[in-house]
Amino acid sequence: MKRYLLLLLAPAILLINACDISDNDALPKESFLKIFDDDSFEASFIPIDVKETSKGDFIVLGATRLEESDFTGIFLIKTDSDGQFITQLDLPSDLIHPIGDLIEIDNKFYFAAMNNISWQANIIEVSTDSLTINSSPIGGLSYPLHLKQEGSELILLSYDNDDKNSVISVIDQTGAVLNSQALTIGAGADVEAPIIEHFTRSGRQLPFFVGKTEGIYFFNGFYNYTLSLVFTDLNGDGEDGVLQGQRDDGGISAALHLDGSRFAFSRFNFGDNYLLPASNVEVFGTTSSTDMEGNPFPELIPNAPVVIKSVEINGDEVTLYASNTKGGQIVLLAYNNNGDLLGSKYIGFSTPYEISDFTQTADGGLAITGTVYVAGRFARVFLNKLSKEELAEII
Amino acid sequence: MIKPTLTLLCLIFLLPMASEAQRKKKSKTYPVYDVPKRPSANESFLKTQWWLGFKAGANSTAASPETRFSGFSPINYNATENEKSYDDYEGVTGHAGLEITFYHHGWSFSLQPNYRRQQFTYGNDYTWEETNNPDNSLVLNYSQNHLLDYIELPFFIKYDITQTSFRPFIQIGAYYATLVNAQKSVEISGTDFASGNAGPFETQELIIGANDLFLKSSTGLAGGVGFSYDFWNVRLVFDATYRYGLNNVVDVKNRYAINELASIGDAMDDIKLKNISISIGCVFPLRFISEGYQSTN
Repeated sequence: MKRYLLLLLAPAILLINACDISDNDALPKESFLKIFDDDSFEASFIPIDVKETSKGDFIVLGATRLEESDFTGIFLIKTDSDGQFITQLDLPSDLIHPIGDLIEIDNKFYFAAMNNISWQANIIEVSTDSLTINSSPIGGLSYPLHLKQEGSELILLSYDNDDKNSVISVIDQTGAVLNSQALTIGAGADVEAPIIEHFTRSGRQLPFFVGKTEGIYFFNGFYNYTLSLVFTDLNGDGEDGVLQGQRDDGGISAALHLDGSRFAFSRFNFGDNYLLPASNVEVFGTTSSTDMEGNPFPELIPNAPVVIKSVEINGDEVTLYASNTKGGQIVLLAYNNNGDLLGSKYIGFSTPYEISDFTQTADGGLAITGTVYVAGRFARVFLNKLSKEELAEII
Repeated sequence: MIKPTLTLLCLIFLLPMASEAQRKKKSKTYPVYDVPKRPSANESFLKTQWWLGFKAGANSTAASPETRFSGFSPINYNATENEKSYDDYEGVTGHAGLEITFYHHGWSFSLQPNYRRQQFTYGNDYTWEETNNPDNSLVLNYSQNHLLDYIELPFFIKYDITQTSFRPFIQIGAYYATLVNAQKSVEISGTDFASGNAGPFETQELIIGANDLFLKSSTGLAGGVGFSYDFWNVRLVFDATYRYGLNNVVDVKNRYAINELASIGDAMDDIKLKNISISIGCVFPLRFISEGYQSTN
């Protein structure tokens, strides 16, 4: 009889054990993947960067095709902390070609763009509450290529179309140029052509970027006929060191300064891609990127765009690579400071996904933005938020 | 006047005493008269009994969305346009298991462990049109089918309305189920009006394991009606039962965790399951089985 009674009590025991029901709660803002869809057949969006606001909302900066211009227009999307679309701001068409990074300073966001007639570089200030903008010309600089914040400095890479120079400058939020260095790209229209095609998006998107190590600035841009990583102290005496590429067929595709002369790199060479998660470079010498050994990564699309950033996972600084695979997915690769692979994660499956940028969120998670080709054809912005736990699963 | 009153009082007190004395006297003298009538073996058998058997049947499920989620966040149209549309009680699946019942005086306490498959489906529709030429459009229909396999432990209290060989009954109870396997398939079909003609197309069906998408546990209440019929030494049981899920069966932490689904914009709503089951079973008595007994006696 006791056996039968135990049998009858079994459901009650199981009910008590069903703890997963009571634990089944998670805030929607912890993890989501949102596709910001537009039902217009001809609409096309090119996200550039994403940042989290102090209130936990997200701002996505992006470009979109303009009928009246060879260059792209600018839009901003604001979402709530759950990734739900709140509003979109299309900037006036006199401002074109937005570039990242999207930078937060004192609860305001900044990015660079250019005037559609004078090609004058502008710094755009964004108030996130009302999603309004205020633009200021950046004195004397045109064709902006990349804006980056390093400590308290804003560093801008731009192209001087008149003198055929790559220009690296330190600016402030008002657009004032504090320091600058111009270096020639070399003579002749052939050198300039890939730069213009980059601006009009009629050719390859080239990996222009700027940064700073301890006291030394660097930019990845055209110098002396070659897409090179150039080091300079901005003292007006030209370059201090060059890591040369192969015209626009080879070079560095992304870099993150680790410490001293160590960098996490990715490079490309005639379509092939190599990852170098902990590589020493001669900052004050002339070397060639093709001589650098690295992990070949045939999984990536030819000349793949790569984003490298440092993120904190479980209290450790991890170098996180993001790039696009031939299978239409985004791959995230995590390396430790020694360059050892810790793990990977893929985003996207049957619908093509492409990386634009990512940022670590205040809750220790990761926000990733990029392009998703809905139904295999419509380029839309996606925002993927990984929770802290999901990010930790990568390693 | 006093005499009749005393006589009456005496009668009032003495008569019950006399009656009690008579009763005691009878009890003492003929104890056999006071023994309750001993029930027959068949009556005892039917008043308290254990039954064991098996049952199987078909069931159909409806998913009830509590909070809605979507991977799509439209920027120029209303999100309700491509909200999930659930097909309630659309598919029929099966279940099979045991029935262990303790019966006592018309009441039964029944544990019915079973393996059951439940199915629910929903669909979304998406349309993209060219602004200046609406004929240039693409219509896509996403059809998503879910198969959930549970081991379920329902416990019912039944009441037999009659005590005959044909016994209609009502039952109420509760269940706990643990997920064994989950599978999800996505089929995308549509019409492409933009590629030269109205061309229908279907993509290859995507079928994936979806265990992570759902919670291990499912609980709920159940109630139903049925009847049993006794013949030979067995009891045939037929019932129709409605199950009302009490918990969200979707694992909210994994709502966007399955890459294959999240990347096409699918995100499960918080849902509770409702289920209608029809079962037929055959149970056997466990006590007092003897050659002489026929359950129809």
